[in-house]
Amino acid sequence: MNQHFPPLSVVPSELAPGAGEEDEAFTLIFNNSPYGKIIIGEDGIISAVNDLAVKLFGYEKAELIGTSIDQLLPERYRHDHASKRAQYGEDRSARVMGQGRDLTGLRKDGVEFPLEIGLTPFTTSEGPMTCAAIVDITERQRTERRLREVNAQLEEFTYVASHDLRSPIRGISNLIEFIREDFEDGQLDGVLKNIDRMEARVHSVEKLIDDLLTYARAGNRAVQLEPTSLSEILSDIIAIEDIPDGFAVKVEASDEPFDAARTPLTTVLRNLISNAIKHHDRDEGTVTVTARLQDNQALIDIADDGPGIPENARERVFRLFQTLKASERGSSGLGLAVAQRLATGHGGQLDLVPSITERGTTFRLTWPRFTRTDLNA
Amino acid sequence: MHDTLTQAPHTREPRILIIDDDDIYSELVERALRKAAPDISVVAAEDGQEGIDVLTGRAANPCEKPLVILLDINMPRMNGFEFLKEIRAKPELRNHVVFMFTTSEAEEDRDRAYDFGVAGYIAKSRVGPQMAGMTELLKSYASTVILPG
Repeated sequence: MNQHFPPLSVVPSELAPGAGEEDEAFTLIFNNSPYGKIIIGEDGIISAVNDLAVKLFGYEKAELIGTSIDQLLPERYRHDHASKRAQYGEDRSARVMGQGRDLTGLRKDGVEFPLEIGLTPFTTSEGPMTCAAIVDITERQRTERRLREVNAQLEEFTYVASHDLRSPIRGISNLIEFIREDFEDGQLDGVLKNIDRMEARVHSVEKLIDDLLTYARAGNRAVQLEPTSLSEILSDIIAIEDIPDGFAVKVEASDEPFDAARTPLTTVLRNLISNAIKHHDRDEGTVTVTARLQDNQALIDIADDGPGIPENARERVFRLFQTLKASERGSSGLGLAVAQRLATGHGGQLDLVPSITERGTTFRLTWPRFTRTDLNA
Repeated sequence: MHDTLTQAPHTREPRILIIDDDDIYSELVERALRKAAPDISVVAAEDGQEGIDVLTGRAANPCEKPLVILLDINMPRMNGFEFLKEIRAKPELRNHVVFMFTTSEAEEDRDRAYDFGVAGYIAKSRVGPQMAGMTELLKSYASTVILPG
């Protein structure tokens, strides 16, 4: 079916309706618009579409003209679309459609996408018509989501900087005061001890700054894919990791090769394994790592037989420094936060598996088996 | 006939329970009190859980009726808010007078603390090295306020 533009009674009356030049100008503007444009009649039948609209929805022009606008909507929205159009027919004015609601379009291949629609009503000799201007906002939504994530991270970062950095510095300033006081009172016994305490805090601030930089950089994912296997990665980690006497790391891993962002994946696994050992409360323990490829993911469980994480602390283990004593802060404490950030940054996920036994903790890491390049967008 | 308050303010254990994972703060309070109010002593706990153990007599250094509790927020095992939730849910612990004593100056933390009914929110940065205001407050509590039984 041919593209059918409505006669141009929309143009101001001084321009004669149907005049060839105006028709041509209208066609040109319509077709070259930076928005997808669709013209429909009161019955919801499409009478014209521009090139961009055709591209957005993945159809050929001829497939759309003369058919109902409803086919461009996901099934679940179709039933009340006719009544919405009727409502609109009673109060025709230019407007943005569905403000505050998320509008969704349906492509020919079945893929849905978020969109924004502006409606402009006009009247022709053939009756009332509406021109819908359509923008695909997939990219914008992705950017917004990314922005929200970055903001949340920044907020956390600020909190850490203001609390966890300030805290040892305040400690140092108190210690200076203690030393001064002891000097004045001639009590010199505690002075050396307090200098040591100061020194420990200076180191902890330095370490904290290093760790914060590591954490901040964990968000930069310059992905370098390397062919590897889960068993190879894990045996490399265990070869390097300093495993204390009495501890064993048991690995059951697939040796099927896959392309992985090897460095971050190794860092995450190393953090999880060393964490399991570091926070163990006994002299002997076992960390069991089970790693397999399943569908399009690598699934890795890291289970220990340590003290377990109390119910009320489970939600905060991934936050910065949450599990540590002030005096230990800086020595570690970023392991889980870095691991989680690396995992999500590379399209994976790190979760705490709900515990059914009193002791022991299991973390589950999922890592994409085929790296999604669109995450770099 | 009404019961009268037989408890004189000063008969309560003259001790402050400070719950903070940084032992410098218990020392800070202790040093300040040693000069300004030597009869008030300090019991320290490293985190919320140890705080509860101290209050319930399960710790090596029990202190079941402290004058007031000074409470930090960020701590391992059980943080300040979790501690408050825990004691407010227990009839035998819920009436303790708690002052937050923290480095956090976040409004969110302040509001949350008052939602738990704390008696005051003290920012560590505001007390100054001599802790003059703090020791006055604790002395006044010990000598004038009639505390829950």
